[in-house]
Amino acid sequence: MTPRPPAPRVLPPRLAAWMAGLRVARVEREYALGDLEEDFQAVARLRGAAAARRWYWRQAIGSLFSRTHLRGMPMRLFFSELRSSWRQMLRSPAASTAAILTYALGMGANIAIFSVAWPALLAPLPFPDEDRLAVIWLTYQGRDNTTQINPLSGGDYNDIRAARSFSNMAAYSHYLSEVNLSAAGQPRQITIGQVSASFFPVLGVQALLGRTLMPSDEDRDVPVLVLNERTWRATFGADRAVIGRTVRLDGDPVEIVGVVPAHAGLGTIEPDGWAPLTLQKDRERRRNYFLRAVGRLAPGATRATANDELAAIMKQAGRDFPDSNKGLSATAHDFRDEMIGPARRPLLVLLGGAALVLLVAGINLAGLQVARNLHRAHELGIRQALGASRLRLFAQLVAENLMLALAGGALGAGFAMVTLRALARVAPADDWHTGQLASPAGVAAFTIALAVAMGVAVALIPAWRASSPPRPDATLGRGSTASRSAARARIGIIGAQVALAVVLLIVATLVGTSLARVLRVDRGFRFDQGLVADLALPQSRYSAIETRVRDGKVERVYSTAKATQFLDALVERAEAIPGVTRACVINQVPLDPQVGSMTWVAEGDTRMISSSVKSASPGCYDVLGVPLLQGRLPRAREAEPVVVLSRSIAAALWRDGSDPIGKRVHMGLANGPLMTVVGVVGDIRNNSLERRQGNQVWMPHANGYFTPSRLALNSALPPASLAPQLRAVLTDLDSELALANIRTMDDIVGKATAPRRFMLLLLGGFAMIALVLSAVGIYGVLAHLVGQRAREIGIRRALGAPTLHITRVVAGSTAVAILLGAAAGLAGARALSAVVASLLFEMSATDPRVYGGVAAFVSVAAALAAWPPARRASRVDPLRALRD
Amino acid sequence: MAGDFEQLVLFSIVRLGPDAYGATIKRDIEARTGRSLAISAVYVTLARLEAKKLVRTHVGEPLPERGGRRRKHVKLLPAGERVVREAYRAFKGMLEGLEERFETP
Repeated sequence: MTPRPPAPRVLPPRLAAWMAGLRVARVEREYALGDLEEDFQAVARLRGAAAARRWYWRQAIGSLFSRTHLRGMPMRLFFSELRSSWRQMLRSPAASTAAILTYALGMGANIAIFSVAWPALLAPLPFPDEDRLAVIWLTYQGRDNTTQINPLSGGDYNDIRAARSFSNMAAYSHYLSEVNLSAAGQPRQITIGQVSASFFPVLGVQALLGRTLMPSDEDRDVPVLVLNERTWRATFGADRAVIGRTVRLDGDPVEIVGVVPAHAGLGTIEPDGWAPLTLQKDRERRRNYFLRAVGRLAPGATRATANDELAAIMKQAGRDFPDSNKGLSATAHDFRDEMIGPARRPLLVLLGGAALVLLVAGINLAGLQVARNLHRAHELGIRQALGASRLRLFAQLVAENLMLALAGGALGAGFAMVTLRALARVAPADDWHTGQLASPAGVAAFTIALAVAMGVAVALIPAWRASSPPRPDATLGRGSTASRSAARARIGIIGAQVALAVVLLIVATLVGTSLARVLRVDRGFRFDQGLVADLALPQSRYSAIETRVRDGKVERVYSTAKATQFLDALVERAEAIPGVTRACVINQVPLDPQVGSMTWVAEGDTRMISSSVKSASPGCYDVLGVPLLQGRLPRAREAEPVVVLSRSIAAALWRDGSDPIGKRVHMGLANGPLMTVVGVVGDIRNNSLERRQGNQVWMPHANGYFTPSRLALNSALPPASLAPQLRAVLTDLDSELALANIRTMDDIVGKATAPRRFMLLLLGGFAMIALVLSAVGIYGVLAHLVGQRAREIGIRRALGAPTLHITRVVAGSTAVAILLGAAAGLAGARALSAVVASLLFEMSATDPRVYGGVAAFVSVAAALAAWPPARRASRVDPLRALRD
Repeated sequence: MAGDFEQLVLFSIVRLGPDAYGATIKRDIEARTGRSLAISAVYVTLARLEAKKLVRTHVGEPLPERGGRRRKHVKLLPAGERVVREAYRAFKGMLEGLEERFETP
């Protein structure tokens, strides 16, 4: 029996420790924290780790607010103000609640975005010295002189790995392979990334359990596998005894040698497991571009020097292998850019949107603050008259605001956490690393910093003005008319809020309209009631190298007859399931990340046209709803290899517009296998809803290229109720195969549009918050104005001013403010249109209908918010107003 | 003269003798007065007592149970001793004849 490993030492919460140390002199901090830790460990032993953590937090908070040691400290004044602020806050609960809610909404949006953006944009990646890492791509000059990137071939990799600028380099395959894992119980489909033994050392990833890959693993009889922590937990129940265990991948034994953390492949490849990549050691190019490379820069080398060296190496390769390498170079790209590049722009837009919300909230609060301070001018005047210094009054006003801001920040952080939990479900996980939100300590620190900054910023000017030496009228409670500068401030406050709301709402509307357009786009197929499931046929059992004689020559052919037979049986059995109308197998359904692509050459031509390849059983045209335009569809048995072309590639292959039916095309190069065109179908949006890439070549899967790995079917039944029957069918045919990832077409479209939805959800939310805050702000400012000028209005009414005139006093300047604000908002949105344009789909970032509609909508909303106070003004009772 | 809380800390230092340091002082006062104490308050008070030359402190060795941190031990100086005695006498004098009233709950 092995002794139980000692229980890991419980550590006090770091944020709490930081807080506890805040109010201890720096030199004493070590002793004070030591004292706390001593007792913490004692509590942990007696009552458990959770209780100890709670105890520690109480200690930290107690230490922060302890008053024993205020005497003689410079912060004393401030803390005593904070306490009196607390009382002040309780005295006017309605106003305080309004302020706290405004703070909470403004900050909540920012805290939420911060938690998402921090790990993606700023936080260090979980790789040591990440700035020394570089990703290496082949580069070539594409059309219109842009630099294109491409994966490497084995020969290219063998050349560049000799570069001295890198202390170590690793290769990994560009695609993940899908395999069937049989460990215990039902087989499960998992993804495997093939990586060179240097992959983990280059990234600096250590194994959690066991070891990572070693060069000698390539030659072992039983191949090895390193598991992703995620898979280890989900599939193996985090069993530590998994190391050394042999499992079956596609029926072949594989030994598990290690478990690495879930982030180990972050951004490079993140499969369920990693297997050794076996590469030829020679320099021959095989035109097989399937490798990606990541390198660690040698000491003293920079990315620039590395790029010079890579260029020189590739130049030499171009001389040695002109056929394959002419015009090719290689460059090292910033690792971090590669990892987070795609998410950067949307996140920046979201950060900008959140900042606008913060601004709206800030303006709103400043308006509120001015009103409150005016309201208290009497009290402040008396305090000053009694000898309170300006600094003291100023400190009091700032402290009050800070209190509100901190309370709002806490509430806002709560909002943000709830929102994020909901958002995590819709977030496009691949691009955003949503699994890695900022840590609670980070969020807390950000919240406190934001609250302090915002509380002080909002209070600063109003507080300074309010604490100015008393005006004679302040103590007397007079002052029946508002000053000119106050009127200007009011127009500014209303105008700015309207402007910001207009900007946010325009951006949100543009993004929303784009999403609607993407969803409405003509996809070219109608996969109604569509259901898709993945399966992976192991090559070892479903394909074979056969020798056959063709044109008097002996050929060694890769035969997939067994796979074809199996798949046909699967389709037949699937169609027999009640509720399934039609079924088929295909290598890739539309919008599937899995890609199959090839070049094609018309017989007698030399031009190579690139196209997606759809290797499908005959039923697929029907199942996916792809319309036949010309000729016929493939039959189950064809005498010769046939293809069906999409309209676009047919037109590209025969530019004279001649009838393609009966013509022949070469697959791959001009000497590649010939296939006869039997039909033309419509173009479909294959790789993306948003890009028109209409080149598709459809071929019967019986042709033997691109073995189908998707089962597609039409059924009105929900996936969950169909899954057991589909699984049973598959298991019956081959007990080692797994059916994975059963999903509807709606799921697929949802996933493809997830980044847009996420963006819309957040921006729409921000715009709504801004609109509501603006409306509340406008109402507040005007209500205060009417209250303040009630006496003036009363006098006017008593003197016989008509109602319309009274309304105009209030509403006139408001209308001007709203219109100016709307105009400023339109100009602001126009200025941002270049940034916003990148988020849009087939529409202008300055769409006049959106601009006009939003400006009108916000103006009406603002006018509605202004209406009740304006109406109240017209109903002021002259007698009461004068008497009060 | 020492403040209320400073007196409590001084009494605690007398009781703890060579064992007196932040954590023990905090524990002792918490246990005897039933009020919870912030560790920061203890250190601010110790700093004040040291400034008044009533106590002296010295730093020990790093200890694993303290996360590798050192202890700051506190020792009463003769002046501190006098202050404690004075405080004790004052209390005792003031309490004379009141014991029954305060001892019964």
